[in-house]
Amino acid sequence: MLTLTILLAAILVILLYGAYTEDAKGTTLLTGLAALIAAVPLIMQPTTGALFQTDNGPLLLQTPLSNALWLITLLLTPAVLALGASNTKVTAKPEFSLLTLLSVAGALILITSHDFLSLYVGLELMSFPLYILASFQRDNARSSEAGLKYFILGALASGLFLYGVSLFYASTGSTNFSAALPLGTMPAAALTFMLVAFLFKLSSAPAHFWTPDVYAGAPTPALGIIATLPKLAVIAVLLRVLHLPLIGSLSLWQPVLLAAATLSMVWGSIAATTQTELKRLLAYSTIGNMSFMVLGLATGTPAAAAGTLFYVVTYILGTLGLLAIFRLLEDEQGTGPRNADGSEPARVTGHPSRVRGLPPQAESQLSTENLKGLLSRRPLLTVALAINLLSLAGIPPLAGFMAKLNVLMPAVNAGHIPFVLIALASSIVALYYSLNLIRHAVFSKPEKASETSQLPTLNVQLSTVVILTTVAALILGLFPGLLLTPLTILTTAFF
Amino acid sequence: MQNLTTLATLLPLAGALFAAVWVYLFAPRTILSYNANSNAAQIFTTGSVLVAAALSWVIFLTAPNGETHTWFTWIALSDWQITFGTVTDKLSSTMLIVVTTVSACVHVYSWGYMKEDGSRPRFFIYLSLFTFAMLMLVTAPNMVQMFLGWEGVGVCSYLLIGFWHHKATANAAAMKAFIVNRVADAAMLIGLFMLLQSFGSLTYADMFAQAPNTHAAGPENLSLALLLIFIGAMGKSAQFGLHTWLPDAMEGPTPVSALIHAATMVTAGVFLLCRLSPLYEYAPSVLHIVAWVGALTAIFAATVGLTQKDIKRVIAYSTCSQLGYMFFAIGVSAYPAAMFHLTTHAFFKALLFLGAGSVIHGMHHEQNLFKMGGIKKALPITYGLMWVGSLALAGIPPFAGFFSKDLVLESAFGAHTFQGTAIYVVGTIAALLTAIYSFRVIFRAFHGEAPHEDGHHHHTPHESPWSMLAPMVPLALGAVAAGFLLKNMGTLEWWQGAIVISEHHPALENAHHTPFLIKYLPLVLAAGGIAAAYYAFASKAGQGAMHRLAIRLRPLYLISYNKWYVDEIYDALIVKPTRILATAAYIVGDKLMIDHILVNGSARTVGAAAKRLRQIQSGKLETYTLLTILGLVLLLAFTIWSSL
Amino acid sequence: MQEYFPILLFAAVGTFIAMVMLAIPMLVNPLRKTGTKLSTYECGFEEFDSPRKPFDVRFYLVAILFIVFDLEVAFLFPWAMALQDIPWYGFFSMMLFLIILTVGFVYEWKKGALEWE
Repeated sequence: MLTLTILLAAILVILLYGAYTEDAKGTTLLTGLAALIAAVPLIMQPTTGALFQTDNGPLLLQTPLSNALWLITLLLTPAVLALGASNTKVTAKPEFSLLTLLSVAGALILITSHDFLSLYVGLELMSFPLYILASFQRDNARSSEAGLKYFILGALASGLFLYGVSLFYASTGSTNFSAALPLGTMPAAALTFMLVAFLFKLSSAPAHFWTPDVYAGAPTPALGIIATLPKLAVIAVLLRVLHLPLIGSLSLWQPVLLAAATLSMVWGSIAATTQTELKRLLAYSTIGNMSFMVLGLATGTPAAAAGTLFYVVTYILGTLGLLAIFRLLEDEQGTGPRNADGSEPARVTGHPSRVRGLPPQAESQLSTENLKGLLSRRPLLTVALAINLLSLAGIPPLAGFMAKLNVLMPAVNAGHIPFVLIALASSIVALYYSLNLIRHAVFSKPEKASETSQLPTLNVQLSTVVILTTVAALILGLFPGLLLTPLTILTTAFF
Repeated sequence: MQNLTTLATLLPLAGALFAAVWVYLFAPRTILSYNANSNAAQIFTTGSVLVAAALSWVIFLTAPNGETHTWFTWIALSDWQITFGTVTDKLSSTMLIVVTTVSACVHVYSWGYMKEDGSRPRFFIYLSLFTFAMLMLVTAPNMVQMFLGWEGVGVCSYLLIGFWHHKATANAAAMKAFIVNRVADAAMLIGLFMLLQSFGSLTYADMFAQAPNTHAAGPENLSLALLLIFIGAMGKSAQFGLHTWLPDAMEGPTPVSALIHAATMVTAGVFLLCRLSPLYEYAPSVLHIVAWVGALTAIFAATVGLTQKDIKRVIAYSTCSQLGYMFFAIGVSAYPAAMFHLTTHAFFKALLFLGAGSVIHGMHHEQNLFKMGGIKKALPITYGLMWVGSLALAGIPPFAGFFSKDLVLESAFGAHTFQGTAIYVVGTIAALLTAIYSFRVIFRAFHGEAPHEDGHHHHTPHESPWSMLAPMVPLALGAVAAGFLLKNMGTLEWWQGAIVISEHHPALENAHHTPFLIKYLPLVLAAGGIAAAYYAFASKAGQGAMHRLAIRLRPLYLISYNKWYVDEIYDALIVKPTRILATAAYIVGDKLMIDHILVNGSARTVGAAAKRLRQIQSGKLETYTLLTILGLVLLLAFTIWSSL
Repeated sequence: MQEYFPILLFAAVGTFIAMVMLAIPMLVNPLRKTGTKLSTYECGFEEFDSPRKPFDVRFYLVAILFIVFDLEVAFLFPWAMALQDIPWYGFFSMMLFLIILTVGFVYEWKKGALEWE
């Protein structure tokens, strides 16, 4: 409660501050500080129990598990902000970090929600800032396109979700998680609608289509939040939904989630192979990685849940690391927010229907071309890139390997061996494109000799993020118990 | 105490890392010259090893009692775990002083020897890294950590043998060393897994405690596992059959030969078997094999050493032969004798190698014995030191080799079995040959006259600088006095439980009651060997006689000179068939089946699928919506159908 | 579910009648497209401009801002009516709500969202 209060008060204060100033750096600093201060009560005096009691049950329920996930979210927030604070023209507005913090607040509400209404409030509070952040670069057609697509498809998902909730209410007479969904056709429909909406937020098949377009279009700093913390919050709340109100329908949701996981595994890994645009590639990598987490959720044992949460943390770290590296590359190459000559990108005006028809390479996007010769230019960055990529691909001894192992082992124990085999096959394909990127960075020479030979100035925030995620990938890979053991204890207590 | 061991183990690693960071990351950004930075790297590594050596002596002298110290748990599974740490007992502390002392001497020696080498820092970093790996091997409290050190030693050896990577022969030798060791390590790994299977743990203490039960449960299993471990040890310790890499490894810089191929790495196998003595005592059949392999190696290497022309190869074969002694001592359960010989051997063999290095340095990188001669005057100090080393090697009292080699031979005789006696005979003959070949080196190189037929020898031989001679002095002191001072090492009590000998194996006990004749026969033969060597190689008449002898016994000479044709036999039996098989597998299996059908086939499938998926991902919002709804409808159809 | 049947019936009949009434003119009316007929009806005037012209985005902004404060009033009415039953808790809840709205108002004002130019 105190955490939420601090966070919401901070949002108001920062909003007022932002109204009177254009000081982006100060706002970012305040925002990061607010997230850390909000984390203090969680460490000093974590409380558990119901918040906002209603006749049917509490709207929010704090448990040790939700407290731990809150803590993880809040501690990762400064890293997310660092991506935005890396001083580009795009994000140099106080609104950027403010929206990030709003989204984080939504994520926190989502994690603790114990009622479909509070869940919906949290979900939208988390999502709306993301739509804005995706289109934050207003004079860029791709960014606007990304925001619009994200918003419209997000609205579709919200509609499906609300419809599912209304069917749930019709079946049980309550929207609280303490209600148990009975068996029958209407409850089955309720469950399916809700699950598809959740799968949308997780960018898992069959609702993953938005991911590549949004990732490719959204400014890289905005991806820092779009691609990371919401996934953790949705996984956390989905865990609750599946095991509290929907536990009676395990025989229904398990096959649904397994089918979704399988489809996204195959889709994510195969579609990524022909991509040359880095952020689009990251989107497919996300789809592939999320499918592992969906598989973990489908397994539905405490070990699988712990593995899934471990997975989402390593995924967030790896993605943050990659995004920070992408930001450094953008600064170095002048791609992304600015054109190669440092000028503003071409403004696209006109009717939105024309925007869609733009050729994708109309603006300079980060692609594998930008990686060429990276080793000779920036050897340490190449090492960090390789470690983060390989961690996401699941190579021992890095964190991603332990994550995959701890998701797949419970799945094997639960007897989902065909799905595990598909997962392994798709992770081999995923390894292909990860290694392909490393190949470009290590072995390829740039086609035209780079005229700028001097090292770019050190970007402290981004470098810190890269170092932290790289070190975390190593540490969590070598000593997964540091995180996995507490998570296992917490999920076992939850079940 | 344990913290000291930890410190001694990790110091060389710290030195190497610090030097690496300094030279490759920090130094390029400073204005200091490359030379100055190389010197800094030299100081870091040498300093850390020197401190480690001092610590090791402190540990050794303060009577360690087998405490273990845990650093951290690496992998924790439900029923067993792998921890990292150190064990400080007599065995590991003995190895500590051997490794660090020789390593420190070699580091200092290399200051002079590698002075003109362009990549000095790399050399010193490798040396320190090697020292660290070796220390981890000997101080590990479990076989997993030991194996990491074991492999680390192998890698560093590869790097150091191939240090002059512009030389094709050095590269080939490095690869040969690595591959032969891999063959042995494969057997060792299987052995490790079998031990894990039988004991449920690879921690020494656990294994030793359970040894009686495990032996009772399945003696064949235990024996097989120990045999496989022994094969691994054979590879590292260059025993007959897996010895072929050692002579070739002389392509590396001479300090490397002194450190790795005389005193430390090659003794790892001996150390491991002694460490596992509580287990080997339950496998007498394996010990028989160990004994015979050791004896065969001892005599084989001694005969080959007689005829080699390269000064370093002679010493390499002598190492091989001496390792054979250690193994047959183990084979008759005289582990203390083996460890004793290991310790003394480390001193005098390192001394001999460094002396040979000094000769090579003085002769401007000439290694051929037949192109030397009469350099006694030019290199007086080296000459003296070589004498000390050779006397110790030949086993002349009061030099170190006498005590340990005699104990080994007496133990063999003391076994009072047919095997033991036979091995005693073989070992004694080998002792005679040892004296002959080691003094052949001295008389050939230092006495007589310089060959003057070839004109391209403009340089006159010169004595080595002090930085090379000084580190040989402590080794020489060791070669003189170590045998007498450490005489108690040859008794079981001295080891305070680090070595266990079953009461059914009384060879070591009996060694103290050896008949007079048996006891002094090796000494007499060695003295005779020296005299014979003087006649044969230092006198004109003798040289002629030797020449005639070689012609008359040409087949024998050729067998010896060509190292019993082991390399050729391997080439015909293993390498060539493997090549043919590999080529066939490459064309049919790899090119056709895997590349064409499996790899490219699946890649083509993935590529085609990706093209399809790309068409779906068109960027059209309506398509996305439609497909999402389609997926929803399919899922709805499933869920509603199954709840009807 | 029984009691909902009349509603279903009503909806079905209503839909049917509406469809029929839309369908009849589509089927029977004569279609002659002339320029006058296709032009936009503007109270008898000639059309000044194309009706497809995009709106100025500021209209949307004003509309959205209006909705926010309109809804605020919609909240305030029932609150005022129920204030007797929920004395202080209700009072401060609404004050918090109003503070949040006010902060938002200050923000939009300072950012110039209320300026037309």
